[in-house]
Amino acid sequence: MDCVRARKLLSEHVDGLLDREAGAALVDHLGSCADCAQELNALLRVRSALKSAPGFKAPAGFSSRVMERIRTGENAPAAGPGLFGWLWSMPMHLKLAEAAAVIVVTAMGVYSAGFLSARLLNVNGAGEQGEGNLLALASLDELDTVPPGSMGDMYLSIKENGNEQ
Amino acid sequence: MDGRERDLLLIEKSRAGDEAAFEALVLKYQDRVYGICRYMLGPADAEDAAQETFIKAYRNLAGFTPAPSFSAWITRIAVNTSLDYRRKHPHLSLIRTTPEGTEYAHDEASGTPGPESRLESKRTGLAVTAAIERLSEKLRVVIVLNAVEGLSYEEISAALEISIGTVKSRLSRAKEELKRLLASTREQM
Repeated sequence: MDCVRARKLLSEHVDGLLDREAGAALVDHLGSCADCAQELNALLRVRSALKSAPGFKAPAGFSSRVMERIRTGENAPAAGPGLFGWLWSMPMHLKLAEAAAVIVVTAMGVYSAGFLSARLLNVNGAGEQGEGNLLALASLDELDTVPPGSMGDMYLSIKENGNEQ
Repeated sequence: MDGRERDLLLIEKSRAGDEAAFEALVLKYQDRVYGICRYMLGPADAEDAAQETFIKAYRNLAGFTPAPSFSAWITRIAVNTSLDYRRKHPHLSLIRTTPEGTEYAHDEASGTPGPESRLESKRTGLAVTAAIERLSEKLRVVIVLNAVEGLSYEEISAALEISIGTVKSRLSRAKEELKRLLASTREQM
């Protein structure tokens, strides 16, 4: 047996887990190799030291506390982060970017609404001072896009005639 | 009825709603689970992680399969729960330094006879615990399971779902590293 092989077997040898043949070969090698014998002694010291490592016991009342948590329903799967939990967990710089995007989109919406209402005022002849009747401006007629002679136009005509009757 | 068969019986009873049966499982494995969490996380989070381990096991009893064993299963949950805690708190320490010196607050250590040998044992225990703390997670887990909790190579292989060859390799590396760390500690003393 060479030293490379011997070194690989030392840990199992210390734990008493080598089979008889491998153990005998290793012992034979250790008898003639001072370096490997020294390595074995070092591992034996480690094993001895590990025996001093404390074996911790669970604190008093541990099982009672576990069972109490189970009885009170804490065993239920933890609730997920919620609809907006992903938002709170984001890094700060991403949150700021998200907030800036929301502000920009909102501003664009406000600007667009103002632009639209200004256009409607002009269409209804209300002038640039905005003297038009806003309720009239909000009439669905402004949004009616049914082309004359279309199926939609015929349908609306039928409905209107029906209502009159 | 051997230990494994008894565990399976307790699991069946627990699934049927028998709380006393599950508590019996907790009592049987609480020291091992707490010990794993204690070595991986230190005193502050050990009990929380250990409780969480058993609660996870209770939640998932329906999905438990007998192979390899409840012992391997609960050990795996304890290791994974501890690793999750470590990811959330990467600077956990097993050792506490107070004005009186360096110590670890182990509640109860087993088998320490006589005051002088207890003191020496405590010093060595501190040195070993400090050395274990400096091992990587992979090496720390196997050395704790084998050297402290007394699990065999086969049990560790089943619990961690790694080959026995990997268990042997990691244990060998862990002991080499501990040898170096303990030698360094002796030189400093």
